[in-house]
Amino acid sequence: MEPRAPLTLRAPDDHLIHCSRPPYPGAPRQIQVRDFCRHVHALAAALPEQRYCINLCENRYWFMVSFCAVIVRGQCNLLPQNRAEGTQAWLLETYPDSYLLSDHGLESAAAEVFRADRANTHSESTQIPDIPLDQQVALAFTSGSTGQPSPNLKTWRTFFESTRINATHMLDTTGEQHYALATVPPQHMWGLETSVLMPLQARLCVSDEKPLFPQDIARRLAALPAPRLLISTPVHLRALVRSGLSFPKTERILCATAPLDEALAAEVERVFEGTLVEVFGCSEVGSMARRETARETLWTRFDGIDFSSNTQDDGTRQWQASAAHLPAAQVLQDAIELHGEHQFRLTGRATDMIEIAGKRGSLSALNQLLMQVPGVIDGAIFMPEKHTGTTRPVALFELEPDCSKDAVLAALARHLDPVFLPRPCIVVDAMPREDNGKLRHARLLEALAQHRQRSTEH
Amino acid sequence: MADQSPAQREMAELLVDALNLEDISAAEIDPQAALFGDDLGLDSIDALEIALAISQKYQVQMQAEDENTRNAFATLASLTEFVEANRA
Repeated sequence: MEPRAPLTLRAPDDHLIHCSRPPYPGAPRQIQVRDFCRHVHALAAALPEQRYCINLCENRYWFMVSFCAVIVRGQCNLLPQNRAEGTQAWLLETYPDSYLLSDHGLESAAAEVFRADRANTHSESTQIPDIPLDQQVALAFTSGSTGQPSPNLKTWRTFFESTRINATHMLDTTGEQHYALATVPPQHMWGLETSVLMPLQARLCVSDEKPLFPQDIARRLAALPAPRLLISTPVHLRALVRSGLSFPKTERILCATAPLDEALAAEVERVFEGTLVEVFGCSEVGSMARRETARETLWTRFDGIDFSSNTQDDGTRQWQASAAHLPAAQVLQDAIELHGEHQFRLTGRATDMIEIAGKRGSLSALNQLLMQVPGVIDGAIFMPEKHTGTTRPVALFELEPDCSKDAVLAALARHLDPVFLPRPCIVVDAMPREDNGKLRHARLLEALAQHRQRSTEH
Repeated sequence: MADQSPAQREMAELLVDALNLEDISAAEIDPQAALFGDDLGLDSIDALEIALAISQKYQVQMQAEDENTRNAFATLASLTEFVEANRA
């Protein structure tokens, strides 16, 4: 018989999800494991007969039920890296045996949308399903440097084992149930690992909401019983600290997706009267290491994750992460300096990858996309000289006479997460190429400086 | 140039400053154009920046779960009106 592991390790009457409003008529606000399993069985039976599901649910309860129902039905979740319509169309075309699933009035020009909230919610069975460990349960997409998203295969073994490791390293040692709020979407690996998978194994009851503004986050946290846990990113945490609002005591704050600085980490701990744990990871591997950034500069790797390196033809060192639960070793985009057996320092990133508001993209992929836009004769997308975690890339391009800057932006928006849309877009008569055709970064920066100069004079 | 009231112009300047909108000047923002989506193409990171700038300048807190806030983010005109109505 094939090896299996349960969908959840929680007890039937444990609280799994704290809902802002009952998700269906007659449902309680705090969903217990038994209610959850009942809904999962009902939805699994109602899903369309296809191989892949593109889960676009915005509410975390609906995402979680649908994500699990897809697995129980023996299907596979496709987790796109953004919500752009072009990405959905690409997925539907690349995986013809797939359907869109949503919990709200989402319209798609690309295909019909299966509405999870309109399907049956009740089943007689409250049994906790066992999932084959080798079942492909998700494909998590990351921006590949070729311009096409690249799929990262996740088996139930990967999720089951990595979640056990994550819970050991991310939660405290009190053994108490925490009430969690996440400001990140469940489709993103960081949100998936912490706000969807972790409650299925560890003592977490997660809120179904995804608040954005500081005031909303304060109110949602206050609505949760103590002890509390906040799952967030540096962009959101910076906004929370800057808002000057007071927040309910939050015992633990988990932060990932982009580097956090020590000063902000200390501020967050002061404002929330809790411990901030920063996590290092990537979509290909998942979470790999942690540090208490207010007090530690070195990262401590999780048990079960190993790093190794080899020297490339050009003399640079390439790092890989491997683990028993991963199908293969994964090349990392970061350079690492080991300190002893368990600790390391991050020393840089591969230059093609950019990170904006915690989302990772490839500059060469952005450039390929730009060159595919009809009407663009020549052009480049690049990062300005000084940039923070939310600085947008800049585009410089030469256009056909009948093409406009807005048309180029609209074409890019069909395929990109909004944070990667260039700002500003500068139209030039000719790209500042050298005689040999090369486009040097310095010349692009000069063109940007000239544009800024003109804007201030104007 | 768009036809703006003095309060709208002040809000437009706050937007351009908070978001480093280099492609457009404050005077060019049409009070009725959609801030998010097609016209100006702002996103949720921008919404967060705008909410912070507004709370710092006018002591008005934006809340997404409040329908008035969601409507307020529609255009420059509605955002200005919302802040005027809610400032201390």
